[in-house]
Amino acid sequence: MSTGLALPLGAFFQAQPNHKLNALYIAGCLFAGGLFIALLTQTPKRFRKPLIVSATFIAGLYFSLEFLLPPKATAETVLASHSPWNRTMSALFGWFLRPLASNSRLAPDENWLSLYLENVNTVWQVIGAFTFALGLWNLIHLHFRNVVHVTKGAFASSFFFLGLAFMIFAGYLKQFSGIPDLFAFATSGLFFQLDAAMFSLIAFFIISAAYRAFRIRSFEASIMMAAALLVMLSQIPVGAWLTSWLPDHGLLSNLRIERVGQWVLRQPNAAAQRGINFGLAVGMLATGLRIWLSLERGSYFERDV
Amino acid sequence: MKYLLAIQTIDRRIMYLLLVVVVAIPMFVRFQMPTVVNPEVQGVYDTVEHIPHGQIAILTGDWGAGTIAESQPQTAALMTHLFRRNIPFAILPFAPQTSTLMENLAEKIAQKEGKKYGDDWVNWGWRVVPLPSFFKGLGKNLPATVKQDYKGVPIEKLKAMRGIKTIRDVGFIAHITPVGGISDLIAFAHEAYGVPLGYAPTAVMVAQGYDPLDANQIVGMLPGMVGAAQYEKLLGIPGNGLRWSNSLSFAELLMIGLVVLANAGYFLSRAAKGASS
Repeated sequence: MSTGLALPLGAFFQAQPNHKLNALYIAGCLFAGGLFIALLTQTPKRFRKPLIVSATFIAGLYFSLEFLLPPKATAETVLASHSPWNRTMSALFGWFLRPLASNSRLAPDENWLSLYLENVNTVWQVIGAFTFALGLWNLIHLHFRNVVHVTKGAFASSFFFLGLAFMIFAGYLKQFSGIPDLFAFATSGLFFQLDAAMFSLIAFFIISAAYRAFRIRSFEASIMMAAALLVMLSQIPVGAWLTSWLPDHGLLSNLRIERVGQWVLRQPNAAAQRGINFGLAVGMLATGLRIWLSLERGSYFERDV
Repeated sequence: MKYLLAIQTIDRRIMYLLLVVVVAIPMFVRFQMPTVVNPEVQGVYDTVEHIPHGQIAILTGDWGAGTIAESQPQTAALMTHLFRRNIPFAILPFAPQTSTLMENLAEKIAQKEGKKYGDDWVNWGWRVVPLPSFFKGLGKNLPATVKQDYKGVPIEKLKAMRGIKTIRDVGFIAHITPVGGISDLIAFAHEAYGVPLGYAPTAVMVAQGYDPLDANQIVGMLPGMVGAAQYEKLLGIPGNGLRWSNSLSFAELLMIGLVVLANAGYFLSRAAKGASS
């Protein structure tokens, strides 16, 4: 599938399990990665921002163009069509559409940029993995400082190192010694249970907050209360049981709680959600453009790097 | 007047205790309340029922232990259905916890259903890549994009993945999630390649799902634990969804009861004040 520059790049990024030179490749990648990071940290300050702006722009440009440029199938359709619109398009953009339509290496839904998608995805995954390493480094840096300077949170910070060491040890045992028990205890036995217990506390807060805050003090509050009660009842088996004496079919069946709840969710709720989504989409487009073009301002974007 | 004030100011510890009792009782006392299957749950069931053999399903998710009460029964119901239909599925987790939780669950159900890893399901492993570009890659070349499963085995070597070239060989995608995130799948899986989508959110996110449902961008939805319970009813296998939804019912009834009680106290005390003045 890959052609031109994509071929060597694709071969380079392809996973090669059990390859005899894998250890060398890994060492080489670590060295190259370390060198790259060292070069980045040594880059003079005045070049750092332009570097980030350029990288962001190029990455955004690739994805935008790959998505927006027509695929081979569209080029074929436009060139073969005799409609006035398509003939105009052929006359104006034939220089672009003809080589695209005649490229036998492209699938119908691909354009030239699609050939590099696999490699870009791989690069993205590697960058993503590096961001996790960066996050870990930041945590270590922060908590190490707390522990060394014996600050107020030093005791809690020491638990970070304890937890980190324990999980690494348990993971190591599972991966290389084939002893999964400790890892299972650390994850399923400890971490998952703590997480679930923390989350379940929300139920207590919700019940207390609903009891204290939900007073019908206005007409709007009455509507909200009625809708909330109907939807809540319609979502639980008790609700269905309350109106189960009503017929399954016919006019009266519309009064069954689960159907009233469905109506509230599918009509007024869906309309409101759609309105919110339109607003969100416009906001996301504007924010996306601002980040892509590095026009965004604020605490994270104006700091020295 | 005193009792009217009292029902408006119940001590929170009493409410907590009541909640513990109403949640715990259905766990120990086995009974079944009537469960009505909603059209959105039926939609997911029918789609899974009609996945052609030769295609796979993808179960994506980003849930963790915090929402295990809702997301686990949803995932379990879908996995059971796919196993029973002999449709191989791939787990595609978008959070590190999800990978382990879904894998453990699949192992457990597979043992019951007599299924084997690699032949009947695979775990592609946790992905840090953004969903849009990943799905674009699946549309172009699925094995080259996924590369290997969570154990490091190239996916071409797994029986379940044989003949799966692109996302067009995927007959169904279910997104099990405690947050939103279905819009990316709609754009890059359903709209781009026509893959039928199912949405399994937690109850708090259900309202978001009715817009795409109404627009036929998703085939159906499993709304929280109740959705899982309804799916279990369709499958004829009473599981955690059906059992736990009794606890949910009583907890919600308690909340409704307390809110009604507090409002009754509020109105009666206002009426009493009006009468006395």
